[in-house]
Amino acid sequence: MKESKINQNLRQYAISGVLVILVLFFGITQKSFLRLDNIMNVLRQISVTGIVAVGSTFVLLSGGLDLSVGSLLAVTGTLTASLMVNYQVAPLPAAFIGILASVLLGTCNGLLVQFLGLPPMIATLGMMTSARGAAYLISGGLPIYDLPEPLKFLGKGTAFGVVPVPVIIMLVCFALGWIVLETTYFGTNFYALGGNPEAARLAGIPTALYRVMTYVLSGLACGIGGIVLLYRVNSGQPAAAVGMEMQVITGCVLGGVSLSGGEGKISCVLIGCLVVGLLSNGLTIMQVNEYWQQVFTGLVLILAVCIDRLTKMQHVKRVKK
Amino acid sequence: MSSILELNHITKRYPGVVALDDVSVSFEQGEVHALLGENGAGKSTLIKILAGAISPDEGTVHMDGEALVNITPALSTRKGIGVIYQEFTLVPTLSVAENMFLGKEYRKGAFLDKKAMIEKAKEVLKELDVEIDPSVPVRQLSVAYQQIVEISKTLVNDVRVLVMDEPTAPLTNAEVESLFRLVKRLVANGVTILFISHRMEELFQIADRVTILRDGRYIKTLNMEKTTSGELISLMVGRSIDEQYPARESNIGETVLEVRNLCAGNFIRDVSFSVRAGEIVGLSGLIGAGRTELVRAIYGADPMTGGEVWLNGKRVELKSPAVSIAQGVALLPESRKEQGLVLKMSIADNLIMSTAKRLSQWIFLKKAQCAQIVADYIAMLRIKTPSSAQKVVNLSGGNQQKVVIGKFLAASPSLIFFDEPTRGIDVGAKHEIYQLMNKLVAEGKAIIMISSELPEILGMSDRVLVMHEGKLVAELDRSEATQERIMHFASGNAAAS
Repeated sequence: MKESKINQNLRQYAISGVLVILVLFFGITQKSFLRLDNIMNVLRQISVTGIVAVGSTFVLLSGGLDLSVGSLLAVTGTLTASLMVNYQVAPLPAAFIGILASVLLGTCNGLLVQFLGLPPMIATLGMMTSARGAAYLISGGLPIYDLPEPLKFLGKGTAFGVVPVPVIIMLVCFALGWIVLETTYFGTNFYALGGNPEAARLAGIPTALYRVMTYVLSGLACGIGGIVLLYRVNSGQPAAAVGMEMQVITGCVLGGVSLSGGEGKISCVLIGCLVVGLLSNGLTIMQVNEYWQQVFTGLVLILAVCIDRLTKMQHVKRVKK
Repeated sequence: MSSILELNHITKRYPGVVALDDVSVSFEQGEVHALLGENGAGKSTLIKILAGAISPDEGTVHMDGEALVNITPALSTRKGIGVIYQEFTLVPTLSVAENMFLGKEYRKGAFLDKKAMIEKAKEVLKELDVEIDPSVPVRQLSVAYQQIVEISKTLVNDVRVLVMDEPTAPLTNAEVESLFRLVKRLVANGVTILFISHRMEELFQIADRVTILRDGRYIKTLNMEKTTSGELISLMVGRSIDEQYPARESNIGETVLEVRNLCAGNFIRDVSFSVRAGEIVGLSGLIGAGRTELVRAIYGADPMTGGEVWLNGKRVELKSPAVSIAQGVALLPESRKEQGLVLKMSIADNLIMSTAKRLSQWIFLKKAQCAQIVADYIAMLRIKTPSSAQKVVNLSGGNQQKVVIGKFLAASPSLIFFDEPTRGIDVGAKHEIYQLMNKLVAEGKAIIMISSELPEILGMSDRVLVMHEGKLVAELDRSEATQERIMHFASGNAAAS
């Protein structure tokens, strides 16, 4: 019994260990790695992925999957940019409408999954394709430049002179996610829904509402991420964030979120995203070429999940005894 | 007739329970031999041993006088033992022939010899005298035909002993007739049939001999011609209800639940009954009689198609479990792992699952209060665990069941459905659950208990309702309920007894 408890903790904190090892390795071998500006650079690079991962954490915990995140980001960015540049809408309402569009598309995902019973992978795959097409239609196929000034600090600004604003937004999103999952009465319901939907329903949890809600939250996170990305790249790009869903899933899974639902800590998801960011940054500093970086990132993901599997298998054996 | 298969002194123990206790029985060639016993009597353990799915702790199996050691599923098949389980093992999208040869396909070099397989399939089906096209996907067939495919699957190997576990349960009367013709044809070819069924009248139609098991022990083997259904039932349930059911003083109050003409699903028809405060009503019936479906419909887990539910004198619409819980109704589901618990979550999270909202201020959970309640329930239900943060997957069956019970008690219900509350848990934990049920009714709560164990029904209930094929067929007072009478109604005999 004691052993299994240690084991559980081990699994939960395994990703922190990976983080420490990476930091030590790059820190010792590369002088510039631990410099404050480089650390902030890494954080800024993972900020959009992190914001989106907060939403996806809810979806994955509840046993779902959202492949459409990258496309929702692109819709938010191009729509907001187009409203400001082509229709002279003020930046704040434009951003609001952009986020709302993403929330609505997320809601569609949720409704398709819950009420038409589509497998999450199919529903969000369809959404991924259609929303990407919509982003191209909105922007006329070309990036939208010349954004007005007022909200540019969302992408480019820093607080206290050092911390980039996108990083602060990401941390706030993680904090909100943590508060919902760890301190509210309905936080556990997401875990229950992913762990055993029938038991959750029989226990009186309105599972339909919660399932739809996870996709709404994912849409909201994509909306916020979309605005941050828009101002980071300073243009509305219809091809923005292609392949984002895989980065997000990698971050979540590295953080210990189970793809079958019901397990995972949002704090570990932040660490998972950090690991991906650090790995790419460190390897870049080491001048490892980009193709090898991809190979390593993939291997780290597979390795992390293997460790998880192995500890689980041991665990099951022990319980059976 | 000569003995083809012999079991000698077979014993199989599971933690906390002896599933088979020194059972010896022999089967003759070319007979239909029925195995009879209550749920948990050891029939399925015996089948699993023959199929090689589990191995006995003690004892030997002899076939044609030769001892079979370390029976594996492959050895069992090779020796000509075929088993047809209650749940079909067919792949719905594959054709009849493909299913029949699954895992033992005929080959021509590296390729499948489809032609030969279709030929052989036709041959087998012809032998059974049934008209099925072997190239049709199995999912297009009716249940009865699917079962024939199951049987033909075993006939592809030269089967000598065929075990049929409740083969008639999903069939209509006409289909049962044709199944019996098929059984007789197999017997005429020298195949031995081990036949398991709860339907007494069928056994008299088809079986030559019957062996009765009870609590894992061999009781008796009889010739069907020389016995009566009365004798069989009393041999089957024979034990007395000893002190395992704690006594209580009934203090029965007002009507809590009244169900009028309830219909649900395809076959729950026109069920009416009521339950009063301080009363335990036992809901009895065979597996598949619709007991679980009935309580799930009342609880709002499945939709009702007709009828009314009245709670404390008011008509209510329990549209969902959430509504039911808010109205003070709780359900302990039939299968705790699939429906009762989130195994990956902690004891604490499971315990407050239904009540988290009440334990919170605005949206925030009051952690201290939750911890207190969790600690209270762990102490009250005597859940054995080092910590409330333990995941429930690591608990024993009895302790898991206590977590499910704790979860709905926390919602302070006034009406509780217990669906098989003691299934698969050890005697000690059973006793604790009985005591808890007594305590709950003493507090004025009303309980409806589904159980497939007759002694439990008789030991705990103030009144017994009996269901058969989706209908309520009898209501017996505690004083007039006996195992024999309940079985009589549950097997579908007419109301006159």
